[in-house]
Amino acid sequence: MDGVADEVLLKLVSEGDVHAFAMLYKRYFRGLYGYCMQFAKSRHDAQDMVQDLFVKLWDYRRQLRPDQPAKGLLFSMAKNALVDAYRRQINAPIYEDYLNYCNSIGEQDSMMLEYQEFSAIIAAQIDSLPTAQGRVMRMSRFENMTVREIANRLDVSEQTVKNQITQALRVLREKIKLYLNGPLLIAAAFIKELLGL
Amino acid sequence: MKKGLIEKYRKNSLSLDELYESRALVDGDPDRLAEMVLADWMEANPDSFPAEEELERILFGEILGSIMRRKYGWRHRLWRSIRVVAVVLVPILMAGVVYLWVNRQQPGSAHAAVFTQRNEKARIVLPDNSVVVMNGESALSYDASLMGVERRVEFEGEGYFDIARKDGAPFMIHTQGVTVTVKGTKFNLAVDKENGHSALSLLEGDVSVSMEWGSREIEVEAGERIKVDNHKRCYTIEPIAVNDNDLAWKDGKLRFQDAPLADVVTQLERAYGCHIDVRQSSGDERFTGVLPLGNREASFLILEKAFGCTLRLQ
Repeated sequence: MDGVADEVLLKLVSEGDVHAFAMLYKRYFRGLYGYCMQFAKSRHDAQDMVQDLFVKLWDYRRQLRPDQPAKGLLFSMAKNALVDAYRRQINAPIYEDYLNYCNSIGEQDSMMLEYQEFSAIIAAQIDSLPTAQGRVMRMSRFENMTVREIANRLDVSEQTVKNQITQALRVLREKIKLYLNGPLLIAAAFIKELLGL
Repeated sequence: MKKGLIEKYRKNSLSLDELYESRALVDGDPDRLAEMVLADWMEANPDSFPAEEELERILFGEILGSIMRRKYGWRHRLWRSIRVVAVVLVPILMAGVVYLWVNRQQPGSAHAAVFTQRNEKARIVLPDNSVVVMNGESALSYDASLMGVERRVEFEGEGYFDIARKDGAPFMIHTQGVTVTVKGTKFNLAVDKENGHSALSLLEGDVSVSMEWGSREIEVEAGERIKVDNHKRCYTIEPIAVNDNDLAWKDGKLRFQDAPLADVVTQLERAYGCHIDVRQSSGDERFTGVLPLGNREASFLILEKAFGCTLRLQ
C-alpha cells in the first residue's frame, strides 16, 4: 500500500477505511509534526495539533474531496492551530528574549538552547531573582502583560516596571551565558534533566 | 512583506526587526497571514524534520483510540440501546401477536357459527373453555366477543356439551323454543327441528330448561333425560337407561340393550345417513350388544348374523 496515490488513500478514508487512514498518517506524520513543532515550539502543543488534525480528518472524512491535494487538505485542517500558535509566539516577550539570545550567540547551532529549554531555564531563573523583579518578569514573560498593565496592577510607575525588567534581563542574560561556556554545558544538561525536558 | 519571514520564525532565525515586522503581520489581515503560512508549508521539506518514530507510533495509538470511540462510540451505544429495547419489546410484541391471533375472531367477526354435515362430527372449544362435540347435521353459533360476559349459544341438532363452571355466568343454550340454562355440567342435547322434539340427557350437575310456551323453569338432575315436544307443548322426564345410546355417537359405539331391531336400524340409518332395507325379518327381534360406529359393513354383519336377516342399502 506504500505506493498508493494520495487520492486513492483519501477516497478510502472517506469510505471509512482505517487502514488507509493509517497509511496517510504514516506518510505525513513526520512533515506535519516537525512543522507544527517549529510553529508551536512545544512538543506537547505540537502533539496536540497533530492529534487534533487527524481526528478532524477522520471526523470530516465523508466531506473529503479526493481530488484535493493531500498536503493542502492537511494544511486546511491545521491552519487555525498554526496561525494561533504563530500569533501567540510572535507576541510573547520571552520569544523576543529567545531571539535576542539566539542573535547574540550567532550561528553556533550545536550550542544553542532550544526555545523550550530556554524558556524553562528562564522560568527557573526568574524564581531566583529578587521578589519584585521576579514578579514583574513573570507577569511580563509568562502572563504576556504589557508594561502599562503591570504598572497598573502593581500600582507603580511604568518607568519602575521598565527598570525592573531591564535589571532582571541583565541578570538573566549573564546566567544564560553561563550555559554556553564549555564546562557549564554539563550543568545545562543537568538542569534539562532536572526540568524533565 | 518579506518572503521567508515564516520560515525564519520556524527556525528561530528572525532578527529583532523581523520579529517586529512579524508582529505587524499578525495584527494585519488574517487571510494574508494564513496564505503566507500555507505558502511556507507547501515549500517546507518533510525530510528536513527529524524522524520521531516512537512518538509517531504512540501518537497514532492515541488518535486511533480517539477515532474508534467516535467511529464505534455512538453506534455501539445505539446498538446496545436497541438490544435492550428489543429484549423488552420482542416478548411484548410476540405476546401481542399471539394475543391478537388467539382473539382474532373477537374484534371484527365476533359471530361464530359451526355447521356439521351428515356423518360429520366436530369438537368445538368455546372461548370459555366449554366443549361442544357436535354430531352430524348440527349447527352451533355464538357471539365470541360476548362469551366472557354472557355465555349464550344457539344450537340445533345433536351435541354433547361439557360446560365449564363459571360462577356468576350461567351458560345458556337457545334452541327450538327451548332454553337450557347450565352451570357447569355434561349432557347430551338432541334437537329435531322438523318434528319439534328436543331431548336432553344429563350426565353430571344440573340444568334448568325453560320452554317458550312454559311458565316455569324445569330442573333436570344428573341421570335424567328430558324430552320436550314443542309442537304438542309437553315434556317428559325419564331416567337414562344403562348403555344409553344418546351418547354412543360421541364414543363411536352404539350400545343396545333389548332394543327392537327397528330401533337399531333407525339408529344406524341416522349414523350412516342412509336408508336401510330390512329383509327376512320376523319383526320382533330384540338386540343387546355393541355396534361399532364408522364401520357400516361390520355393523350390518353383526345384525345379520344375530338375526339371520339381510340388510341392504336402499
